[in-house]
Amino acid sequence: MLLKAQNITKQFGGLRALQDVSFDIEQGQIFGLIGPNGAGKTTLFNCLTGTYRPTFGKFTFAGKDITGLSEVKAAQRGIARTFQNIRLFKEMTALENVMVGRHSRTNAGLWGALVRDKRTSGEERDIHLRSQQLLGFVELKGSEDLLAKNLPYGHQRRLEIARALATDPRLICLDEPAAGMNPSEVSDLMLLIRKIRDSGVTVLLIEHHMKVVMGICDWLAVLDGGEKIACGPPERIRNDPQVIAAYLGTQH
Amino acid sequence: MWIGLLCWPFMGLHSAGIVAVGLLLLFLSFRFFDRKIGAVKNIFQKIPGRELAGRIPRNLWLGAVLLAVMLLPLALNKYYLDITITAGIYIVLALGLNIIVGLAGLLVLGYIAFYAAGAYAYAILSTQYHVSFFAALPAAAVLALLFGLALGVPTLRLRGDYLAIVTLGFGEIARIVLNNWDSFTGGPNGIMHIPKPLLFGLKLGSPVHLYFIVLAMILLVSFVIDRLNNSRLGRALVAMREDETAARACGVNTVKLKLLAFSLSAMTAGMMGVVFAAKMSFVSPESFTFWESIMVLCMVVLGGMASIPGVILGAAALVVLPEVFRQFQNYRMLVFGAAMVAMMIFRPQGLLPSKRRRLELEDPTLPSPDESGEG
Repeated sequence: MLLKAQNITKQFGGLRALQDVSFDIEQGQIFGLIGPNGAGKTTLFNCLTGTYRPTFGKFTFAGKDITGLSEVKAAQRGIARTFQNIRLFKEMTALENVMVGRHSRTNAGLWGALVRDKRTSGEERDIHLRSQQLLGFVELKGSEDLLAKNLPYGHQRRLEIARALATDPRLICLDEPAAGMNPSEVSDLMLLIRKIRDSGVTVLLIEHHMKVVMGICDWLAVLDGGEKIACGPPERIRNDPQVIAAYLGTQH
Repeated sequence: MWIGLLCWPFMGLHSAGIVAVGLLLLFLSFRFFDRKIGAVKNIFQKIPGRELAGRIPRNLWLGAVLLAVMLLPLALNKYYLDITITAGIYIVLALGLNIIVGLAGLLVLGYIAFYAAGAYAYAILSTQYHVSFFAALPAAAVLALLFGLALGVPTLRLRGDYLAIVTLGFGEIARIVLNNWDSFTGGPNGIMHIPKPLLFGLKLGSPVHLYFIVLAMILLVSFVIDRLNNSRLGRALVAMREDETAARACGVNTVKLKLLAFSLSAMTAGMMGVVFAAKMSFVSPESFTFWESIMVLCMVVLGGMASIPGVILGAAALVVLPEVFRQFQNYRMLVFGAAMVAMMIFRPQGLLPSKRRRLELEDPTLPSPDESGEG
């Protein structure tokens, strides 16, 4: 088991955004997190990746307690994320964006930057090489020198994924990667997510796009109003009366 | 047009009208020529091999500039040499501020406090403890670094306007302390008779010597920034400027980086303060007003944020041009303001923008998003 979430609760003043949410993610899974708007999906992401500290509960990642670790530490432990509203370094080139992702796996300091010794330039070459590879992996070869903000929307999404992959994660958390994509971009994205899983990275996916969720997820958890209402393989979730009620409302 | 309106009160209706019409013509011709220049540039960019041709002479070009700058004191009389040294001091200051404003993207308005710290450090150390210039340089750098951390640590969570206001307050506090701590800083009278630099018993007091000290500082700071900019830390700094949250998610420790930017910036200013005190042989709080902070910031913005040649040009322009136009003293500030406004409208990226920014704002060969297609 790669990630174990136990009784995660997050309270903002009087508002309970998450209430006793527990789930397990197995190594090599594509784990989908779904639920209506405001269900607490992104809050859960933020608790996991260190943006927030859960009010109560515990995250165990690869056997170690990671509850309340900072974002930087979480990245170092191997949890990478993308953002719901794309957050690229807009004025940097596509390649530079991915290179920043290598930050936590490299350690040249000020001295190295000034003297540019052998180790630093070797490391710099490795960063460059690996970043090129990753751009190839998400099929953005040829866009290296374009500024991130000038990339088309679908490419920006993929660039963000490449940047997250550059941190050498064991778990990558994708926050609505298919949002705003056209059907052909969506099927490309599904292929990419499978490819990421096949390369050995576990995927945690928030998504509203049902084709994506049902098409690629191995396991789903459904949140509604901050509580987990269902958990299981996609076929079972699809027919779960509680889930249908949460999405469509109950019959009176 | 509105500049003409501004001129009205003190020039009279007639001449204000002339100014307005003149500026209008200037504006139109500017637009016209701008288009022409753009066309010429387009042709130029189509010449094959330009990349290669542009790359090799870069070192040659730099060498030639350096040689010219080395020989410059021979050609200048005392007055011009003095202005050049002042320009040089501001160049280093602007380069230092550029680390924090241009690279890290933190708007700091009290920058001059670090400069003052360095200047007073040398003034007090040399007049009371007979510390030499070259020993005071690192001491002042360390002192300014401490000030930098003192300002950096409490403001770590602040961004944009809030940071600007806190740092503005910091700058004012520094000046007011200098003004009122009579027993230590000499109050508004300042400190006089600051000795000139000494090296192995050799007195380096003449303007030519100072010129070379300043030149060495410019080269040192440019080198450091250039190396920093093209490194892992430099990338992280720019990433932090672009999006702090995303940078942290990439594992960039923004706390450490901010403090690094603050300390490098402050150290640069501190060392320049020492040079300034040695040059003037007199310091007083009047030299370290809020206005100076703004001037240095203007130099960075005018020249082009995060671009070394741009900042150098910006600083040189803002020191030298007011001297050249000394006979129009009454209108200097007006022209200065108008020039800044015009800059922000017509060339917001600065005179010589940094590579990344130029790519974004100027390059017509850049494919538009819908042209580049898939993968």
